[in-house]
Amino acid sequence: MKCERARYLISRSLDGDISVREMIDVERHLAECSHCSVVAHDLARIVGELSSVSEETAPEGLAFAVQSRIAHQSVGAPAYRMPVRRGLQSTLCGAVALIVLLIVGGGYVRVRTHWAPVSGEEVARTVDGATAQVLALAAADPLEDITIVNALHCAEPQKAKPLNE
Amino acid sequence: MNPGNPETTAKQAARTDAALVMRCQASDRAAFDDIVLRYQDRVFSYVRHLISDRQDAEDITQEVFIRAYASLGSFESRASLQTWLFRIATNLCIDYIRKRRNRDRIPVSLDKLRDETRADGYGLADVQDDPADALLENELRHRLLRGVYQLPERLRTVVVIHDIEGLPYDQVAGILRCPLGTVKSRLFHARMALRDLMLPYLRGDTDQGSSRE
Repeated sequence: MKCERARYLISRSLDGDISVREMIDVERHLAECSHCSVVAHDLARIVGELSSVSEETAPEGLAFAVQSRIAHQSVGAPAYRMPVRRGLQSTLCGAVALIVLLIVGGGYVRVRTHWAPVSGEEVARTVDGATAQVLALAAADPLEDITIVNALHCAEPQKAKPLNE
Repeated sequence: MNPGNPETTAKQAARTDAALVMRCQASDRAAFDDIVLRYQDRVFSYVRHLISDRQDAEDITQEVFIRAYASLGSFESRASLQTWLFRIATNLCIDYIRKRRNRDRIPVSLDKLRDETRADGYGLADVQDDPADALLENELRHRLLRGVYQLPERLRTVVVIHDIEGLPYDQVAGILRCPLGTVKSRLFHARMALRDLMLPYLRGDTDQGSSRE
């Protein structure tokens, strides 16, 4: 028996996948080939070590992250690196809605630094106030791009929609 | 505690999986949550042993379940749920490994792998002066796992599924969708490649001379 064949059968024998006849042939070869004897020992050692590797535990929050992604039905979205706590979801939705309203309203608005949801009236006051500020600045500085002033004068005022909690 | 017959336990698990899949296919979201909880450790462990970066392994594991959820409607129970999940995981991991290789230009030549592993070319812990001194169980296992990460993906997947995850040949063949003979051949080549990489750390506990050929 050639060494390559013997080593292949040795590998299979480690999984119990060898016939009696094949085992006899392998043992006969090993009795005559010291190199393959060493290979047999090494392979047994390696397979033994690999079989002793313990199972890894999934990180905490992985199941919730999967559930969140499925709930948002965004199969192609990038994975969440940190689990999203349920309590923050509605607050984050409110914050996103606020930012969208501010963009639609136009003008420069100072963004709140805390996550407390805001009322529709408050948004409208903020947008109106910001718009007034921009108009005042534009009027004060004749070098400002007058297209901004024209755009603000021409744009219809956007009604602030009440936030849904 | 009666551990029960392994075959009976496996059959019970299969019946439970089949029931869960049927509920999922009937739009029962809670059933899929149960599937995730049931298999998240196994899938993550499998992916983690293929992918050296833990964060990437977590992301891929998430993606496995997302893809599984998206294609549950076409799952026909010919393969077990675990085989199916592992198949999805294998494909994602292979894609990742290939992209990473193209990006980082990780060589697949085993000669180069051997030289670079010995020269700490891939960020292995500092090798002690005498490899025989480092021949502790944990050290060899640690280096073996590092060696697994260095294998080409065709060999890496088969040795992880069979030798580390402990699945039999036929399940390996089902996951990788290749013949049994191919599984046995790749497993042999993977083990010989690992032996090649680990030779300095194996020599310490044999009395015979070098057997490299």
